[in-house]
Amino acid sequence: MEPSDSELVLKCLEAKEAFAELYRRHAPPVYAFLKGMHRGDEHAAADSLQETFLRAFNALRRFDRSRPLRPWLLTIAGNVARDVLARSKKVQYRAEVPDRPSGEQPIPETVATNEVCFTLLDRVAPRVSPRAVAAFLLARCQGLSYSEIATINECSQATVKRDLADAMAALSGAAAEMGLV
Amino acid sequence: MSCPEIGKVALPELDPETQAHVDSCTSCREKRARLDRLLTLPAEAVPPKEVLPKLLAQIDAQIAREAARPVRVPQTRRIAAAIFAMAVVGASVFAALSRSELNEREQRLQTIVLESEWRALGYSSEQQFLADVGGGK
Repeated sequence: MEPSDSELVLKCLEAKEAFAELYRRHAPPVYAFLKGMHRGDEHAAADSLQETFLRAFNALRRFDRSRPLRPWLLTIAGNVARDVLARSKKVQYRAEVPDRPSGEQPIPETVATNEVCFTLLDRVAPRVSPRAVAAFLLARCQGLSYSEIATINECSQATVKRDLADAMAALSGAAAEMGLV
Repeated sequence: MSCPEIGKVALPELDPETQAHVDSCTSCREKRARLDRLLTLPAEAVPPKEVLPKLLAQIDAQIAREAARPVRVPQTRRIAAAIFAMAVVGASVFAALSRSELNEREQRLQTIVLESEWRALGYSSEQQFLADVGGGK
Protein backbone atom coordinates (compact mmCIF):
# COMPACT_ATOMS: atom_id res chain seq x y z
CA MET A 1 0.00 0.00 0.00
CA GLU A 2 1.25 3.47 -0.89
CA PRO A 3 2.14 5.72 2.04
CA SER A 4 -0.12 8.72 2.66
CA ASP A 5 1.23 12.21 2.00
CA SER A 6 1.74 12.70 5.73
CA GLU A 7 3.74 9.45 6.01
CA LEU A 8 5.70 10.39 2.92
CA VAL A 9 6.63 13.78 4.40
CA LEU A 10 7.81 12.01 7.55
CA LYS A 11 9.96 9.67 5.43
CA CYS A 12 11.40 12.66 3.56
CA LEU A 13 12.56 14.14 6.87
CA GLU A 14 14.49 10.95 7.56
CA ALA A 15 15.86 10.23 4.09
CA LYS A 16 15.95 12.51 1.09
CA GLU A 17 15.34 9.52 -1.25
CA ALA A 18 11.65 9.64 -0.28
CA PHE A 19 11.52 13.17 -1.67
CA ALA A 20 11.76 11.77 -5.20
CA GLU A 21 8.54 9.83 -4.54
CA LEU A 22 6.87 12.97 -3.21
CA TYR A 23 7.97 14.80 -6.37
CA ARG A 24 6.65 12.05 -8.67
CA ARG A 25 3.30 12.14 -6.91
CA HIS A 26 2.75 15.91 -6.91
CA ALA A 27 4.83 17.37 -9.74
CA PRO A 28 2.20 16.87 -12.54
CA PRO A 29 -0.53 19.16 -11.08
CA VAL A 30 2.07 21.68 -9.87
CA TYR A 31 3.71 21.71 -13.31
CA ALA A 32 0.32 22.16 -15.04
CA PHE A 33 -0.39 25.12 -12.76
CA LEU A 34 3.06 26.61 -13.40
CA LYS A 35 2.68 26.20 -17.16
CA GLY A 36 -0.47 28.27 -16.92
CA MET A 37 1.22 30.89 -14.75
CA HIS A 38 4.04 31.12 -17.33
CA ARG A 39 1.54 31.16 -20.23
CA GLY A 40 2.78 27.95 -21.76
CA ASP A 41 6.52 28.69 -21.45
CA GLU A 42 7.79 25.19 -20.65
CA HIS A 43 11.34 26.27 -19.77
CA ALA A 44 10.15 28.83 -17.27
CA ALA A 45 7.62 26.36 -15.87
CA ALA A 46 10.31 23.65 -15.48
CA ASP A 47 12.67 26.07 -13.71
CA SER A 48 9.86 27.19 -11.42
CA LEU A 49 8.92 23.57 -10.74
CA GLN A 50 12.50 22.82 -9.65
CA GLU A 51 12.58 25.93 -7.45
CA THR A 52 9.17 25.07 -5.97
CA PHE A 53 10.28 21.60 -4.88
CA LEU A 54 13.61 22.89 -3.59
CA ARG A 55 11.79 25.44 -1.42
CA ALA A 56 9.39 22.70 -0.34
CA PHE A 57 12.31 20.45 0.64
CA ASN A 58 13.84 23.23 2.74
CA ALA A 59 10.52 24.03 4.42
CA LEU A 60 9.38 20.44 4.95
CA ARG A 61 10.23 20.48 8.68
CA ARG A 62 7.85 23.39 9.17
CA PHE A 63 5.00 21.75 7.22
CA ASP A 64 1.95 20.90 9.34
CA ARG A 65 1.37 17.22 8.47
CA SER A 66 -2.26 17.40 9.55
CA ARG A 67 -2.95 19.61 6.51
CA PRO A 68 -3.13 18.52 2.85
CA LEU A 69 0.17 18.68 0.97
CA ARG A 70 -0.99 19.73 -2.52
CA PRO A 71 -2.40 23.17 -1.60
CA TRP A 72 0.82 23.84 0.31
CA LEU A 73 2.89 22.97 -2.76
CA LEU A 74 0.62 25.09 -4.97
CA THR A 75 1.10 28.02 -2.57
CA ILE A 76 4.86 27.71 -2.94
CA ALA A 77 4.51 27.33 -6.71
CA GLY A 78 2.36 30.46 -6.92
CA ASN A 79 4.93 32.45 -4.95
CA VAL A 80 7.78 31.15 -7.12
CA ALA A 81 5.92 32.02 -10.34
CA ARG A 82 5.02 35.50 -9.09
CA ASP A 83 8.68 36.10 -8.11
CA VAL A 84 9.89 34.99 -11.53
CA LEU A 85 7.27 37.04 -13.38
CA ALA A 86 8.03 40.11 -11.28
CA ARG A 87 11.74 39.74 -12.07
CA SER A 88 11.28 39.19 -15.79
CA LYS A 89 8.31 41.57 -16.22
CA LYS A 90 7.52 39.50 -19.25
CA VAL A 91 4.67 41.08 -21.18
CA GLN A 92 5.47 40.26 -24.80
CA TYR A 93 2.71 38.69 -26.81
CA ARG A 94 3.04 35.17 -28.06
CA ALA A 95 2.54 34.59 -31.75
CA GLU A 96 1.04 31.10 -31.99
CA VAL A 97 -2.55 32.20 -32.56
CA PRO A 98 -2.80 35.15 -34.93
CA ASP A 99 -5.59 37.67 -34.73
CA ARG A 100 -8.30 36.89 -37.23
CA PRO A 101 -8.52 39.68 -39.79
CA SER A 102 -12.12 40.70 -40.43
CA GLY A 103 -13.81 38.76 -43.21
CA GLU A 104 -11.62 35.67 -42.85
CA GLN A 105 -12.82 32.27 -41.75
CA PRO A 106 -12.82 31.59 -38.01
CA ILE A 107 -9.72 29.95 -36.58
CA PRO A 108 -10.28 26.21 -36.99
CA GLU A 109 -11.03 24.01 -34.01
CA THR A 110 -7.88 22.04 -34.80
CA VAL A 111 -5.77 24.73 -33.11
CA ALA A 112 -4.93 23.12 -29.82
CA THR A 113 -7.18 24.48 -27.10
CA ASN A 114 -4.29 24.61 -24.63
CA GLU A 115 -2.29 26.84 -26.91
CA VAL A 116 -5.27 29.15 -27.39
CA CYS A 117 -5.71 29.40 -23.65
CA PHE A 118 -2.00 30.13 -23.13
CA THR A 119 -2.15 32.77 -25.84
CA LEU A 120 -5.16 34.38 -24.19
CA LEU A 121 -3.39 34.31 -20.82
CA ASP A 122 -0.40 35.97 -22.49
CA ARG A 123 -2.60 38.65 -24.04
CA VAL A 124 -4.19 39.63 -20.75
CA ALA A 125 -0.95 39.44 -18.72
CA PRO A 126 -0.36 43.22 -18.75
CA ARG A 127 -3.90 43.88 -17.52
CA VAL A 128 -4.49 41.06 -15.05
CA SER A 129 -2.46 40.48 -11.87
CA PRO A 130 -0.57 37.18 -11.46
CA ARG A 131 -2.74 36.54 -8.38
CA ALA A 132 -5.87 36.76 -10.56
CA VAL A 133 -4.31 34.43 -13.13
CA ALA A 134 -3.49 32.01 -10.31
CA ALA A 135 -7.10 32.20 -9.10
CA PHE A 136 -8.33 31.44 -12.63
CA LEU A 137 -5.98 28.44 -13.03
CA LEU A 138 -6.70 27.03 -9.58
CA ALA A 139 -10.46 27.33 -10.06
CA ARG A 140 -10.81 26.20 -13.65
CA CYS A 141 -7.94 23.75 -14.06
CA GLN A 142 -7.35 22.39 -10.57
CA GLY A 143 -11.04 22.56 -9.67
CA LEU A 144 -10.37 24.10 -6.26
CA SER A 145 -12.99 25.89 -4.17
CA TYR A 146 -12.93 29.63 -3.36
CA SER A 147 -11.87 28.79 0.18
CA GLU A 148 -8.94 26.61 -1.01
CA ILE A 149 -7.85 29.30 -3.49
CA ALA A 150 -8.08 31.94 -0.75
CA THR A 151 -5.69 29.85 1.37
CA ILE A 152 -3.27 29.33 -1.52
CA ASN A 153 -3.35 32.97 -2.69
CA GLU A 154 -3.24 34.20 0.93
CA CYS A 155 -6.27 36.47 0.50
CA SER A 156 -9.99 36.57 1.34
CA GLN A 157 -12.67 34.64 -0.56
CA ALA A 158 -14.16 37.96 -1.68
CA THR A 159 -10.80 38.82 -3.27
CA VAL A 160 -10.73 35.42 -4.97
CA LYS A 161 -14.18 36.06 -6.48
CA ARG A 162 -13.11 39.52 -7.66
CA ASP A 163 -9.83 38.17 -9.09
CA LEU A 164 -11.65 35.39 -10.88
CA ALA A 165 -14.19 37.82 -12.34
CA ASP A 166 -11.35 40.14 -13.49
CA ALA A 167 -9.48 37.27 -15.13
CA MET A 168 -12.57 35.85 -16.85
CA ALA A 169 -13.67 39.28 -18.09
CA ALA A 170 -10.19 40.00 -19.49
CA LEU A 171 -9.81 36.56 -21.07
CA SER A 172 -13.23 36.60 -22.70
CA GLY A 173 -12.55 40.14 -23.92
CA ALA A 174 -9.28 38.97 -25.46
CA ALA A 175 -11.03 35.97 -27.03
CA ALA A 176 -13.60 38.34 -28.56
CA GLU A 177 -10.82 40.66 -29.85
CA MET A 178 -9.18 37.68 -31.52
CA GLY A 179 -12.47 36.60 -33.06
CA LEU A 180 -12.57 33.36 -31.12
CA VAL A 181 -16.10 33.90 -29.83
CA MET B 1 -33.09 43.24 -25.51
CA SER B 2 -29.40 43.76 -26.40
CA CYS B 3 -26.77 41.20 -25.34
CA PRO B 4 -24.52 42.13 -22.40
CA GLU B 5 -20.74 42.47 -22.79
CA ILE B 6 -18.90 39.20 -23.28
CA GLY B 7 -17.03 39.73 -20.00
CA LYS B 8 -20.31 39.69 -18.11
CA VAL B 9 -21.50 36.54 -19.86
CA ALA B 10 -18.24 34.73 -19.12
CA LEU B 11 -18.31 35.17 -15.35
CA PRO B 12 -18.46 31.95 -13.33
CA GLU B 13 -21.35 33.31 -11.27
CA LEU B 14 -23.86 35.38 -13.26
CA ASP B 15 -26.02 38.08 -11.71
CA PRO B 16 -29.77 37.27 -11.94
CA GLU B 17 -30.35 39.71 -14.83
CA THR B 18 -27.50 38.28 -16.95
CA GLN B 19 -28.49 34.74 -16.03
CA ALA B 20 -32.04 35.40 -17.23
CA HIS B 21 -30.68 36.84 -20.47
CA VAL B 22 -28.29 33.94 -21.06
CA ASP B 23 -31.11 31.48 -20.40
CA SER B 24 -33.18 33.09 -23.12
CA CYS B 25 -30.43 34.02 -25.64
CA THR B 26 -29.01 31.24 -27.80
CA SER B 27 -26.10 33.38 -29.01
CA CYS B 28 -24.92 34.23 -25.47
CA ARG B 29 -25.35 30.62 -24.34
CA GLU B 30 -23.17 29.49 -27.25
CA LYS B 31 -20.55 32.16 -26.49
CA ARG B 32 -20.47 31.05 -22.87
CA ALA B 33 -20.12 27.41 -23.86
CA ARG B 34 -17.38 28.27 -26.37
CA LEU B 35 -15.47 30.29 -23.79
CA ASP B 36 -15.84 27.42 -21.38
CA ARG B 37 -14.10 25.15 -23.90
CA LEU B 38 -11.41 27.72 -24.77
CA LEU B 39 -10.52 28.67 -21.22
CA THR B 40 -9.63 25.20 -20.13
CA LEU B 41 -6.25 23.70 -19.34
CA PRO B 42 -5.46 20.20 -18.11
CA ALA B 43 -5.18 19.70 -14.35
CA GLU B 44 -1.95 17.72 -14.78
CA ALA B 45 1.02 17.88 -17.15
CA VAL B 46 4.08 15.65 -17.40
CA PRO B 47 7.13 17.63 -16.30
CA PRO B 48 10.37 17.38 -18.33
CA LYS B 49 12.42 14.33 -17.29
CA GLU B 50 15.53 16.37 -16.44
CA VAL B 51 13.87 18.33 -13.62
CA LEU B 52 13.99 15.55 -10.99
CA PRO B 53 17.71 14.65 -11.39
CA LYS B 54 18.61 18.35 -11.40
CA LEU B 55 16.52 18.90 -8.30
CA LEU B 56 18.11 15.96 -6.44
CA ALA B 57 21.59 17.14 -7.44
CA GLN B 58 20.74 20.63 -6.17
CA ILE B 59 19.56 19.15 -2.84
CA ASP B 60 22.76 17.05 -2.57
CA ALA B 61 24.93 20.11 -3.24
CA GLN B 62 23.00 22.08 -0.64
CA ILE B 63 23.41 19.32 1.97
CA ALA B 64 27.15 19.10 1.21
CA ARG B 65 27.51 22.90 1.54
CA GLU B 66 25.73 22.86 4.88
CA ALA B 67 27.92 19.98 6.15
CA ALA B 68 31.09 21.85 5.16
CA ARG B 69 30.02 25.12 6.74
CA PRO B 70 31.49 25.74 10.24
CA VAL B 71 28.90 25.42 12.96
CA ARG B 72 27.63 28.85 13.85
CA VAL B 73 26.78 29.37 17.49
CA PRO B 74 23.55 31.32 17.76
CA GLN B 75 23.79 34.88 19.14
CA THR B 76 21.70 34.01 22.22
CA ARG B 77 24.04 31.16 23.14
CA ARG B 78 27.07 33.41 22.73
CA ILE B 79 25.51 36.00 25.05
CA ALA B 80 24.66 33.31 27.61
CA ALA B 81 28.26 32.00 27.47
CA ALA B 82 29.65 35.52 28.00
CA ILE B 83 27.35 36.07 31.02
CA PHE B 84 28.41 32.71 32.47
CA ALA B 85 32.12 33.52 32.00
CA MET B 86 31.67 36.91 33.66
CA ALA B 87 29.83 35.27 36.56
CA VAL B 88 32.67 32.75 37.03
CA VAL B 89 35.34 35.51 37.00
CA GLY B 90 33.28 37.62 39.41
CA ALA B 91 32.83 34.74 41.81
CA SER B 92 36.59 33.97 41.77
CA VAL B 93 37.51 37.60 42.49
CA PHE B 94 34.94 37.74 45.29
CA ALA B 95 36.33 34.51 46.79
CA ALA B 96 39.94 35.82 46.63
CA LEU B 97 38.98 39.10 48.33
CA SER B 98 37.07 37.24 51.02
CA ARG B 99 40.09 35.04 51.70
CA SER B 100 42.47 38.01 52.19
CA GLU B 101 39.94 39.67 54.51
CA LEU B 102 39.80 36.46 56.54
CA ASN B 103 43.60 36.37 56.87
CA GLU B 104 43.61 39.95 58.14
CA ARG B 105 40.98 39.13 60.77
CA GLU B 106 42.97 36.08 61.89
CA GLN B 107 46.11 38.19 62.29
CA ARG B 108 44.23 40.81 64.30
CA LEU B 109 42.83 38.09 66.57
CA GLN B 110 46.32 36.62 67.13
CA THR B 111 47.62 40.06 68.12
CA ILE B 112 44.74 40.54 70.60
CA VAL B 113 45.34 37.09 72.13
CA LEU B 114 49.09 37.78 72.46
CA GLU B 115 48.46 41.17 73.99
CA SER B 116 46.02 39.74 76.52
CA GLU B 117 48.66 37.08 77.40
CA TRP B 118 51.56 39.50 78.06
CA ARG B 119 49.30 41.94 79.93
CA ALA B 120 47.98 39.04 82.09
CA LEU B 121 51.59 38.06 82.91
CA GLY B 122 52.34 41.62 84.05
CA TYR B 123 54.53 42.79 81.18
CA SER B 124 54.30 46.44 80.17
CA SER B 125 55.11 45.83 76.49
CA GLU B 126 55.11 43.10 73.94
CA GLN B 127 58.87 43.45 73.35
CA GLN B 128 59.60 42.64 77.03
CA PHE B 129 57.33 39.65 76.93
CA LEU B 130 58.89 38.35 73.70
CA ALA B 131 62.41 38.85 75.07
CA ASP B 132 61.56 36.81 78.16
CA VAL B 133 59.81 33.95 76.42
CA GLY B 134 62.67 33.74 73.91
CA GLY B 135 60.82 35.10 70.92
CA GLY B 136 62.98 38.28 70.85
CA LYS B 137 66.22 38.39 68.96
